Amino acid sequence: FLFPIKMTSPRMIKLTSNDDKTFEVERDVIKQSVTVNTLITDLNMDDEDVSVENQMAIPLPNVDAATLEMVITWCKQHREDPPRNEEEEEKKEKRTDDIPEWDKTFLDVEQSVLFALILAANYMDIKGLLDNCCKTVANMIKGKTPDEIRKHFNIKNDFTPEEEEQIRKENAWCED
Amino acid sequence: EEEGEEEEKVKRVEDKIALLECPNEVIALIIHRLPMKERLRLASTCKNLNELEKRSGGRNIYVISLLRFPSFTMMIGEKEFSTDSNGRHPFLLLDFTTFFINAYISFLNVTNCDAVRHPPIFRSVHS
Repeated sequence: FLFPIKMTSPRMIKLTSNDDKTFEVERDVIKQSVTVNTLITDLNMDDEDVSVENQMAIPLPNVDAATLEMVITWCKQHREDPPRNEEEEEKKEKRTDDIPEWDKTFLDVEQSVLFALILAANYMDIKGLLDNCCKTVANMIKGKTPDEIRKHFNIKNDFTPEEEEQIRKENAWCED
Repeated sequence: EEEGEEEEKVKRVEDKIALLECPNEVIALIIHRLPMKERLRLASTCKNLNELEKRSGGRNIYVISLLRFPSFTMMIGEKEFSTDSNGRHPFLLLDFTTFFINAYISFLNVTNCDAVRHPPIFRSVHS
């Protein structure tokens, strides 16, 4: 006997970037964004009677299309991740050598792209992505002298020579 | 040629989002990921980052180092001292007087990290 099996397609959500590109993404994938998740709940967008065609797109005015595409790719990759316990994360020793291999490769991008991703992860409140991006930047800083850090991140030295000397003295205890 | 490449890189970065354009809370998250030495090096690069690093609580360790407890400083400075995402310290050392810290540290067995990490009196201050 064959029973009809009801095939349910995954619930889709529409997101629009600040350059007006619309993305359709699975509800299950984008739930990692607290910002989007809250909006979906608050706007009752989980209502199954509304088809994706008739659904309102969620505007993300702080995220451009290229970055949003990357964010969605990251969320797809991490859809099976267990939910983060922020209290536990807070208690954990702060490490930067525990970035998963896939993320390391994914985040091996130009600096400006990485910072755009950080801003997007911060705005969309995706803790895992934000965390791994911050670790990647921290790894870029590690082992560099102040001058090398300035060059790497294009930071202008606005200290007077006296202030710089004072800071060098203050921080001397921490140097080898 | 290398210098030219470096300039080109800097120029490209200038046109796009850079570290200092990130919100302070994001920069603080990055600072919290750094060990003390790198934290202070980052703080030495410009006034803005110096201020942010100070506000993130890293300088509390410097206060302890002024009290001349080098072994204590190294022990907590490298490993045990960390701030939460709001830049608060797990315990508020700056709120104690020098005398009190001196007396308290003398009382502790400073070779035992856990004793320093979870002293009941600091815990009650923190909560």
